[in-house]
Amino acid sequence: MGQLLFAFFLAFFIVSTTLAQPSFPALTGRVVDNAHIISPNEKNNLEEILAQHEQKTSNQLVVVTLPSLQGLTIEDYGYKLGRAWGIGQKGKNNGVLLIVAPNDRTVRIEVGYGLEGVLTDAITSQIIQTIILPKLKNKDYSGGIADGASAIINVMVGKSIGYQKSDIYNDFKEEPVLGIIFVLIFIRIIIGIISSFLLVLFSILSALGMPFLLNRFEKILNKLGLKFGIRKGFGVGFGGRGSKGGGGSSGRW
Amino acid sequence: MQKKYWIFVILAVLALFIISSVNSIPKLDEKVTASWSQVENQYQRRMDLIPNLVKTVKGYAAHEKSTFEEVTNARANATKVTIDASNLNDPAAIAKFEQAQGQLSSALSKLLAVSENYPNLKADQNFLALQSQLEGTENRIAVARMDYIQAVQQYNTTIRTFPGLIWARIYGAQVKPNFTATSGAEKAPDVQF
Repeated sequence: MGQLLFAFFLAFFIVSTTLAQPSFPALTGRVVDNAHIISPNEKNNLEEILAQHEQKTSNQLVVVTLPSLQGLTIEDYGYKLGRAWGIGQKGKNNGVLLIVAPNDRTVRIEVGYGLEGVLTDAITSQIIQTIILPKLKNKDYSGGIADGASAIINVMVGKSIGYQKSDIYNDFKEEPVLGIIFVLIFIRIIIGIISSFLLVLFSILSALGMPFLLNRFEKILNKLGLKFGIRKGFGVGFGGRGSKGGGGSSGRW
Repeated sequence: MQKKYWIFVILAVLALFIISSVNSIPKLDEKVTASWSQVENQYQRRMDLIPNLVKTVKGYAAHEKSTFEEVTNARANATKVTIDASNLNDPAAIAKFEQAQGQLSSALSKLLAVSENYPNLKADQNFLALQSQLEGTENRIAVARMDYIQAVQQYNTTIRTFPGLIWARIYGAQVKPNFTATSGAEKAPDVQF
């Protein structure tokens, strides 16, 4: 009986949320390759670079490739996706999305409020035109995306766009201290489980449509997220809740 | 004993619900004001870009006088039509604001269209940077407008439906005028590289 109720609520939740917006892919990690254009090797490298950059600076850069923009322009879809995922830390709004839609032949760098001063439109436009597009035009998707991500990180750490990719690897390579790492992983798994449980509760509440309870709940969840540093990487869905205003540049080829 | 307990719980839940509902009206009102500020912010950002843009284009296309005049006049006009929190409720004021910005959008489109005829201008680094900033700003304007439209919709819906319509009287809340989604803000022409 309990299972039936649960299934009902879950179905209700799914229906009510899908009616509202275009569908967004699940945030499964820092590289969401739904168009399957990034080589597995490059994907792993990229995930590592992006994770390390986030650890050092708290900036969240996420790469996403999409097979379809669902009839929207990439500008329109981009900021909506950024908001749905809540990329960037709340308060700092330091999220960046690198979006490639190969079937629509468009690319966009979507910049959160907090990074607009660093990743200006002029700079993101330059990155797209001079670094990303040339490779995309030659169907070197992995290369174009990797170089683009490196260029974005370069700018965010205050270096020039063309700083070599290999230098990024060297900068961010760290000597792992095994023992601490295991403990941290264990703690984060526990937090992941607790958060998943809370997510289910959250979805049931939204299905019941109780706005005021939801608000309280969201506040608690945000505090939890901030305190324990719950990041996107666990697929739990709680981002930093950073905000986006439509800043950034697009390119078409 | 058990029955009394349940009554308390029900009353408490009801009270919470009412409080949250009553409070939602001023909260949504604030949200409307805040999103309006953002709209003005982004329009202002566009206006700030224009003098530099005109200067750069003049450097290559000095004799396109009528175009420059149109842009400069439209900009001057747009700076005069401002809206503050007090006349956010006035549909005529909003319409005037949209019209002024719409005129500026057309003048800008013409300026950029004219620039297409000057290949040296199109290759100028300064111009390219300004153009990307202009495109970015137009996008930010579109997003800010969308947010404003949604904020106003939320507010209007809340004060017109139950139970909001009950407490709306306490606040003297009125339905706010809204933007039409695409009026005036024509996109700057797409420039192929």
